[in-house]
Amino acid sequence: MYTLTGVTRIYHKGSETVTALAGVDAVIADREWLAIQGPTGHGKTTLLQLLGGLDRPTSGTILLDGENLGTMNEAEMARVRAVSIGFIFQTFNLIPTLPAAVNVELALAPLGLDAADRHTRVAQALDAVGLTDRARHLPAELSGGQQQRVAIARALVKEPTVLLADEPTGNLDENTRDDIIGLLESLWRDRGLTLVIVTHDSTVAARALRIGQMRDGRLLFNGIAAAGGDEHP
Amino acid sequence: MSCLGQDRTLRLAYLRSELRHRWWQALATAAGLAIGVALVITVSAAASGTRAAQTHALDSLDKAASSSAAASEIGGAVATASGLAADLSTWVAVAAFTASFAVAVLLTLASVARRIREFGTLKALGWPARMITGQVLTETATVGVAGTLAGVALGCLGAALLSALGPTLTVSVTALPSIAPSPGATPGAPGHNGPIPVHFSAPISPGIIVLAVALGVLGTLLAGAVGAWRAARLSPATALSRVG
Repeated sequence: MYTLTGVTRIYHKGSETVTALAGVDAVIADREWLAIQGPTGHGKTTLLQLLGGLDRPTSGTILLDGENLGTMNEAEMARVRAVSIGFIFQTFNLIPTLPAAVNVELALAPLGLDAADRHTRVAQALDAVGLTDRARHLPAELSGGQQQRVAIARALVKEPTVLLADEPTGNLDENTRDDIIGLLESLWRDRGLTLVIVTHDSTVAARALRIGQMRDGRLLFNGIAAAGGDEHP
Repeated sequence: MSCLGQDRTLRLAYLRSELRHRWWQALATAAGLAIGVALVITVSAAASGTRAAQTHALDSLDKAASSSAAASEIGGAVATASGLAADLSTWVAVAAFTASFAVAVLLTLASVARRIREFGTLKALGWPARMITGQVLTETATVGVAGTLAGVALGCLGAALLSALGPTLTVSVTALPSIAPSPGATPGAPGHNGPIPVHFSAPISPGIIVLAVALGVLGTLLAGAVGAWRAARLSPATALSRVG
């Protein structure tokens, strides 16, 4: 699925240089569930954004099914995001003016499907997250857990192969957190997704197949940085 | 690749929802543009009315003056005053439209700035830059066309009010000795030196309406293009990192 080799990401803020990623090597296998933990500011979100084609590495390569995300132009990256990658955000990122069903449907807009096909898929996605009866509700009319379910439906409606989640339970209480992680786990298992979750929550991370730790811009497994990206069991 | 025709209903639903929920922003932008367009039409109509009154006054004076030298002297003075009024009207119209256009651009850019995270989310969903540009342009154009049409209606109403309520002006030439009085002559007739009535009206030419609509629509599209360009050029990661 993913092969990362020597991935760095350096930002320039005025005269200051910030090294968010300092040479990440890793392999993330098909259908793997990887949790990434680590202190704030050590590169977790930056790594997730690079995996999702939302940003480009300063150096190194990120291969997704053999294609180098770092050398794609913006249109190609958008196409990969539209077809292959679903995102879930800590703050849900639903569009507040749109009902739940339209929020989900927006993910299908770049795919050129006809309206009937889109509506069928949206209904199925909302059903999968248990929100069929909330299709016409605006985000403000939903609880935090329900909003995150809508966001999960939006991420999955296009049937991606990869699901990337940045602190998906960070804004939820414990019970809702457990519901959401249970839902993600069942979707991951049923749909054969590759799931990468960035989380501070050890309870969430413990459900994953593998846990990586970000430290000073490096991704460590069992305290050791991967060499050549081949330490996945 | 994306098929724009097939997602038209979705994007129209998005447009309707945005306008319904952000109606006060749309209303402020449309109102700013409408005021500018209305002022262009009304002030231009007033300038046309001033010129028409000038022509009428000069014709009357031509008939009333007993010598061509006096007619020329009076006509020059009236023409200068009228020309100044027309020039002033033109500049008022330009200033009004520039101000309202600036307001429309600033409101459009402010609206885009508030929605940067939303556009970042759309990019994360795989929306290419051209789809986001199209969405912003469609929203801006809808507001702009509504504002322009409202401005045309307001401008026509303003011009009609000027015509209805405008004073009847009078022209007197009694101070000029070269104009000989002619007892019993009717106002405006040769030899008469009393007040000559000149009714003021503010006619609207189709050309002004076309110009005002073109300025409104082009201005809106320009504002939308700037906003859309700002929305589309941001990297998704940068857009998503914006607080708000």
